[in-house]
Amino acid sequence: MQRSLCIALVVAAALSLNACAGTTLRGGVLEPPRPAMPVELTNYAGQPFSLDNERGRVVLAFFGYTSCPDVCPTALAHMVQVKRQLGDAFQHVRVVFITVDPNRDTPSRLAQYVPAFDRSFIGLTGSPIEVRRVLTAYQVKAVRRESADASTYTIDHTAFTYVIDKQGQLRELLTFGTPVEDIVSDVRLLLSE
Amino acid sequence: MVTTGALVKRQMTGPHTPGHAHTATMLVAVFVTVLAALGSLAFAGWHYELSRAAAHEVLFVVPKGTAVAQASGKDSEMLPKRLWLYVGEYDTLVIRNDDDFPVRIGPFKLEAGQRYHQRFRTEGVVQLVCSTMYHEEQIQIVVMNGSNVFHRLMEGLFRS
Repeated sequence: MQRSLCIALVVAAALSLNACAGTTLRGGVLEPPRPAMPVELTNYAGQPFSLDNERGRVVLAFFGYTSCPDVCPTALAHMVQVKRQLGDAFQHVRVVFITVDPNRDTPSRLAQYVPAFDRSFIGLTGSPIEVRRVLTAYQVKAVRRESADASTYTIDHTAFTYVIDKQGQLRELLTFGTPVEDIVSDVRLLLSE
Repeated sequence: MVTTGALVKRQMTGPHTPGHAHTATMLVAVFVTVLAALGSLAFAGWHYELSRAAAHEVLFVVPKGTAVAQASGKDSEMLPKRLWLYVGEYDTLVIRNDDDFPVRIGPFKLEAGQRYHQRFRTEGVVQLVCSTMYHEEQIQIVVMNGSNVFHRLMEGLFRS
């Protein structure tokens, strides 16, 4: 009887584990994963930033600009909620905001903007050539739209979040508006690997 | 010695009569069985979900030789111009690149041998640009709510 109980327990545990193993990434997944393209830029403190140094963390990279009226602040606000829901696990996550507007987004401007959402988030900029290199590598479109009186401009840009795993591989893309719980689920899954 | 042994034995077995022990064992057995049943149910659900997802995969393959054919001026369409998909668990868009060259699809590059799969979780229209080095095409993905009969009809009419 004791032996049957043990066997039943093992079977139950195995079945439960199997059920848990069904969890999958919820975004647009790339398989097999390939190394993420390099990001060599400058953070808002004026220090060099390299994506290579983020190995061991899950990186959520978003492209935007500080004058963005709607999409960028919303995306960053979602990241704040992601951080809140992840709790302690967030220490193994990095949120990176990469400007598509290097002419206006200087390190000092990013330093005013990005930490206003969360002090752990990193804002990146560089020379127009350096930024263009990264945008091209990630297939990010950024089209400048002049205002009616040409005094200012906005930028239409790709609004995906690129998710890079702890091994530095580009794993998935999250469309703008992906529910926070889906992002949290995917980050947890990648952290558990 | 014998008395002590008998006493110890009685003390050990005293509170647990054979009837009580049997009931406890039965309870544990029932608990384990319920646990196993729940595990099996979860496993079956997961398995069903996987098979259902596979059954509703909308797969597009970029065949070998596409880039070369396009380079030589042949009209080689990679994806349909418009695609109708259902929100959430129902449809999964899968694009597989069997060619020897990368394909750019919207905001990412699909390397040779790579595959991209996506379930759309909100209704809407997504515009994607797909391109090789020599060819570019626009795709419109219309993501619908699967419970809408009108949408199902439209899907039946327009789905490629």
